[in-house]
Amino acid sequence: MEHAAHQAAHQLGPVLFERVSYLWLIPLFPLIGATINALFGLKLQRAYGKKVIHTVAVAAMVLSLLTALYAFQQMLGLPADHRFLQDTRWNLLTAGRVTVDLGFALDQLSMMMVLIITFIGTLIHVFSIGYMADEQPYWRFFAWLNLFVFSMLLLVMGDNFAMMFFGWEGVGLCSYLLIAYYYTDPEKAAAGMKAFVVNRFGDFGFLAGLLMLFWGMGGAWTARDDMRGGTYVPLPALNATAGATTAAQSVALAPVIDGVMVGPTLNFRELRDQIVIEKTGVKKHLQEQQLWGFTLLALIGVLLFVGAMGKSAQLPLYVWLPDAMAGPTPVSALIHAATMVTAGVYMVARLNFLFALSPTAMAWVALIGTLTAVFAASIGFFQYDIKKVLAYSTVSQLGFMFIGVGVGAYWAGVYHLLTHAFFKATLFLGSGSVILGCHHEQDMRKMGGLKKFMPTTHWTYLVACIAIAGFPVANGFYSKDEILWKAFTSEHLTLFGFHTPWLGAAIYLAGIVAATGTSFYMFRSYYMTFTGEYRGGQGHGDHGHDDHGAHAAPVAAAHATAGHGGHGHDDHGHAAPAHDDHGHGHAVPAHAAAHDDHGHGGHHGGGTPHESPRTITWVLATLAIGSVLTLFLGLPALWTHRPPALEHWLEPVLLAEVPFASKPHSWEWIFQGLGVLAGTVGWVFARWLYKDGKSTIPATLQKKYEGAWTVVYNKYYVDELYDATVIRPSVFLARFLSWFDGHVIDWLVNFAGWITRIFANIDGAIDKYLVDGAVNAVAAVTIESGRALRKVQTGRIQTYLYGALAGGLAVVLLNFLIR
Amino acid sequence: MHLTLTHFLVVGALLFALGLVTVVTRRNAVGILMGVELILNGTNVNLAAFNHYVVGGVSGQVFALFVIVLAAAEAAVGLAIVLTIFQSFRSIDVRLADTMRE
Amino acid sequence: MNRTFSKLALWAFLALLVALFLGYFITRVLPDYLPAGRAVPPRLGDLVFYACAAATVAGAAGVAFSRNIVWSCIGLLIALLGTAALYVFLSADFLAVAQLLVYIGGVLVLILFAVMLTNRIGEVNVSNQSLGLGGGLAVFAAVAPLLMLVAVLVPWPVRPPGPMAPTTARIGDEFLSTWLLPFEVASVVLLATLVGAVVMARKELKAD
Repeated sequence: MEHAAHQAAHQLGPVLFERVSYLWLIPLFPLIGATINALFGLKLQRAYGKKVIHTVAVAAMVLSLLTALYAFQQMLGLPADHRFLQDTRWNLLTAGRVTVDLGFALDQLSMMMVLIITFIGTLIHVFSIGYMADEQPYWRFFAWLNLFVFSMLLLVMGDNFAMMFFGWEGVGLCSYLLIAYYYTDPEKAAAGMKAFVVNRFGDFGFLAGLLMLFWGMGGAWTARDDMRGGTYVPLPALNATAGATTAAQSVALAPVIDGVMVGPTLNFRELRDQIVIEKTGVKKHLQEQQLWGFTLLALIGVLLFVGAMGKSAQLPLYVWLPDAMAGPTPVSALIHAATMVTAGVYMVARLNFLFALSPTAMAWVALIGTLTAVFAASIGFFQYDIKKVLAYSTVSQLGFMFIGVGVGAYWAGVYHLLTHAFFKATLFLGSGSVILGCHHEQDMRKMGGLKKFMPTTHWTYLVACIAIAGFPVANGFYSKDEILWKAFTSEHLTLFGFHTPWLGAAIYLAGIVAATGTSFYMFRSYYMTFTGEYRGGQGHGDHGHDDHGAHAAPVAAAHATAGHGGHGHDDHGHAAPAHDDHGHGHAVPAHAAAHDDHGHGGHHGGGTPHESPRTITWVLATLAIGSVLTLFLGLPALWTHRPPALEHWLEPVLLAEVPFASKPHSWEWIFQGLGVLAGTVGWVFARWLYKDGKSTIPATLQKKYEGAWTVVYNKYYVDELYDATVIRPSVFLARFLSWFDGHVIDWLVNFAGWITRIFANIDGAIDKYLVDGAVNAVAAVTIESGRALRKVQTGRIQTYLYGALAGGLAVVLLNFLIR
Repeated sequence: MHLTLTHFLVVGALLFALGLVTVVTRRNAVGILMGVELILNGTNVNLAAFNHYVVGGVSGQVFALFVIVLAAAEAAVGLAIVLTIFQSFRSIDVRLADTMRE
Repeated sequence: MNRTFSKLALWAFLALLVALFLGYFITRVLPDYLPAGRAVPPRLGDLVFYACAAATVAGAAGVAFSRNIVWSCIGLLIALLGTAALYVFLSADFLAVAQLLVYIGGVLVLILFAVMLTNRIGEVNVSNQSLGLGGGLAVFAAVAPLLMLVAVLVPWPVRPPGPMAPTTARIGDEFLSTWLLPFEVASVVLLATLVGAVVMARKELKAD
C-alpha cells in the first residue's frame, strides 16, 4: 500500500491551485480583536466592564473559525488533487530572486491546522472568560491571546518561509508575553524570558537551515565546481543575486524547466514543485551538494529541526516549557499544548518532501523525539504540581510526534498532533478548572476527592486520561499506535552515514516504555486529584499561585488546626526536601476576610472546592467529546481495509516516499495489543499506588530509593546542568568581558585618545604655523602687491590714455614687424 | 603736384596727433574736450577724403555728419559734466577729480 | 583782452597777406623762372589747399600747446575753419556748411561759455597749465610719423574723383533711405543729450 502511494507520487505534477481572495480574513479577525483590546482595552474595561473585552476577543475568534469553515467547505467541493487555496495579496519584498509575497495558502495540512487553531482557540477563549474573571489586566490577556492566534495562523497559512518565520517569531513573542503575564512576580517574568531566550537558540537553527536551503537551491552562486557534479548543469539565471526589483522581474529571471520555475525560492509550493518533479533536476542537485564534509540536505534538515526543537520543546531545548507553566492555565492549554509547540511538527510535516531526501536528518528527528519522550515521561512520574505533570507530558507527547514525522509516518505524527491538541487541551483546561476550584492550588498533594465536588471536570479529565494512555475508546490510541508501528517497521534511517535498520525497533521499545510511563503518570495525577479525601485546607486566601516557599513544619501544624468542615489536613508524611507548601499560617478571621476579596464571583462558599462556571465546564465537555470523536479520523486500515480518513485527506500533501518494511497483519494486531497492554500496566500501577491516597507504598519506595527519587524529582538537575554549563560560563564570560571592557578596552581607547590628542596638537601646531602662515603670507603678498599696484591706478585719465596709446602702438608695430 | 588723397590723410593725421597730444597733456577739462574735438575733426577729414577719392557717392559724408552730431552731443554732455565737476571741486583740474581712484 | 584780440587779428591778417603773396608768387611768378618740364607748376587751388592745411595744423598746434585756454579756443576756431575749407576741396559742400554751423556756431560757443563759467580768465597761467609737455611731445612723435607714414606708403585704391557737384540733395536722400535708422537713433541720442545736459546743468544751478 505504501509503495503504491509512492509510485503515485512519482507522477505528481505541479500543485494545481485555486485562487481565492478571502483567506487573509482568517488571521485578520484575531488581529483586529488584538488591536482593539490592546489599544482601547483598558478604557473599554473601565467604562463597560470585562464583558466588552471578552466579547470582542471571542467574536474575533468565532468569525475566524467561521471563515476557516467556509474555506474548508470550499475545499471539500474541489477534487482531491486540486485542494489548494491560494490567496496572494501583494508583494512584500523583492531582491533579486528573493520574492516574498503576503500570500496565504491552504492545503489539506494547513487547513487541518487552521481548524484546530481556530476551533480549540475559540474554546479556550471561552474558557478564559471564567478562568480569568478575577484578573485585573483582563484586556491585556485577551489582546495577547488574540495576537497569538493571529501569529499562529500566519505561521500555518503563510505560503512562504518568510511569512512562516514571521508567525514563528510572533508566536514566540506572544508566548513570552503570556508566560510573563504576572510580570510583577520576578520568577514568572524570568520564566517568560527563559522561554524567549531558549527559543532564540532554536530560531537560530531554523534561520540557518532556511538560508542554507535557499543557498543550496541556487546553482551558480559559487565558483566552487566541486560543490556540484553529475548531469545537473545549473543555469546562470539561477543566480540569486541577479538584479530584480519587482515581482514580475523576479519571475522573469527564473528559468523554467518542464513548466516549473526553478531556482532559489522561499515559497513552499514552488519549493515542493521543484523537488517533487524530478525532471527539473533540483532534487538531484540538492542531493549531490556537500558542505563542510556533510551532505547539504542533512545539514538543512538538522538545522531546521533545531528550530523545531526550540519551538516544540525537544531535548535539549525543552527546559523552557515546564517553566512556561507560570502563565495562566488557558495559555498553557492553547500555546504550550495545542498549537504553538506543535509548530515544529507542522514545519517538519510541511517540508516532508525535503526531510524525506535525507535519512540522516530523519533519523536524528526520530532519535531526539524518542529520547525526549522517555526522558520527559520519567520526570513526569514524581511531579506534584499538576501543571508540571502536564507540561512534561506535553514534552513527551511532542517527542512521540517527532518520532512519527522522523520515521516518515508523517500523517501519523500530524494525527497525533491533532489528537494531542484535543486531549491535552482537555487535560490542561481540566487542571485549570481544578486549580480554580481549589482556590489557585496547584499541588496535587493538597487536592484529592474532587470527584464529588467537580463532576464535569472529573469526567472530562478521565476521558482525556484514557485518550492519552492509549485505550482504544479514545483518539490517543490510534495515533500513538500508528506512530509506534511505523517506527518499528521503518528501516531506512541512517546515523552518521551508517544505515541503521535496527533503529526503528529501538525506537519502538523506548516508545512503548514511554507510553507505559505516560499512562502511569497521567492516572497518577488523576487519582491524586480526584479520588480519596480532599486534603486541601481552606486557608488559601492569598493568591499565591505557585507559592512554593519551604515552610517549616510548625506552620503546617498551625494550618491543620485552622481546618474546619471535616476536611482536615491530611498530612501523609511527605517530608520532601522541597516540600511544596502554602502560606496557610493565617488565623481564621483573617482568612475569611481575605476570601471575600478573592471571591470567584460568589461561586464558592467557605473553603471547599467547587465546580467551575459553565463557560468552563461546557468547554471541557466539548473538548472531551472531541477527544473521543476524532478517533474516527484515524481508524487503522487493519480494521476497515481502507486508509484512515486523515491519511487519505493528507495524502496529496504528505507525498514523501519513505520505504517501510512490510510485515504480516498478525504483527500489527500484536503490536496494537502491546500498546493497550502498556496503557493498562501504567494504569494498574497508578491505581495500586495512588487510588484514594491510601497506599503508603509510594512513600516507602521513595524512602528506599531516596537518591534516585531526588534526582528524578529535581528533573535530573537539567536546569542546574544548564546553569552550570551554559548560564554560569555565560555570566562569567560576561563579567570577564565587562572587566576586560572596563580595563583593557577602555585603557586602549583612552590610549588611542591620548595618541590622537598628541597628534592633534602636533597637527594643530602645523596648521597654525605652517598652513596658516602660508595662507597669511599669500594674503600679505596680495595686499602688498595690491598696495603697490594701486599706485598705477591714479584716477587720472591721462595716465590711462598713455597706457591705451602704448598698447595700440605696440599692436600696430607688431603688425608691421610680423608682416 | 596735384592734390591727392595722401595730402588730406596727412592733414588728418596731424590733426589727430595734435588732438591726442592735447588730450594727454591738458590739465584743464575743457582743454581735453577741445582735444577730443580735434581728434574727431581729423577723423572727419579722413572720412571725407576717402569718400572723395576712393568710394564715391556720399556715404562718407553721411558718416562725417553723424560724427559731427555725436561730437556736438558729446560736447554738450562733456561740458555739463565739466560744470558739475567744477561745482564739486571748485576747479576743473582733472588731477583733482580722482576720488574714484580708491 | 581787447589788446590780445587785436593782436591776434593783426597776426592773422599778416599771415593772410603772406599766404596770398606766397601763393601768387609760387603760381604766377616762379614757373616762368623754372625750366619747363622739370616740374608741374603748382596751381592756385593747390596753394589755397596748402594754406588751409597749414592754418588747420597751426590752429591745432595752438590748441595743443597754447598756455592760455582762450588762445586754445581761438586755435580751435582756426582749425575748425580750416577743416571746413578742406571739406570744400573734397567736394563736400554740405559737410563744410554743417561744420561751420555745428562746430563753430554750436560747439565752440559752448566751449567758450564753459571756459568763461569755470575759469578765472585773468589768471592765465593757472587756467591752462599743461601737464607733462615731454610726454605730449613723445606721443606726438610716436603717433604723427606713424600715421603719416601709413598715409604716404599705403597704395590706396584711388579712383579718379568725379567733378565737383552739390551733394546736399543726395545726402538728404541717403539720410531718409539708406541711413534712416541711424538717423533716427542719432535724433534719439540728441534728445537724450539734451535732457541729460539740462538735468546736469540744472543741478549745478540749483546747487548754486
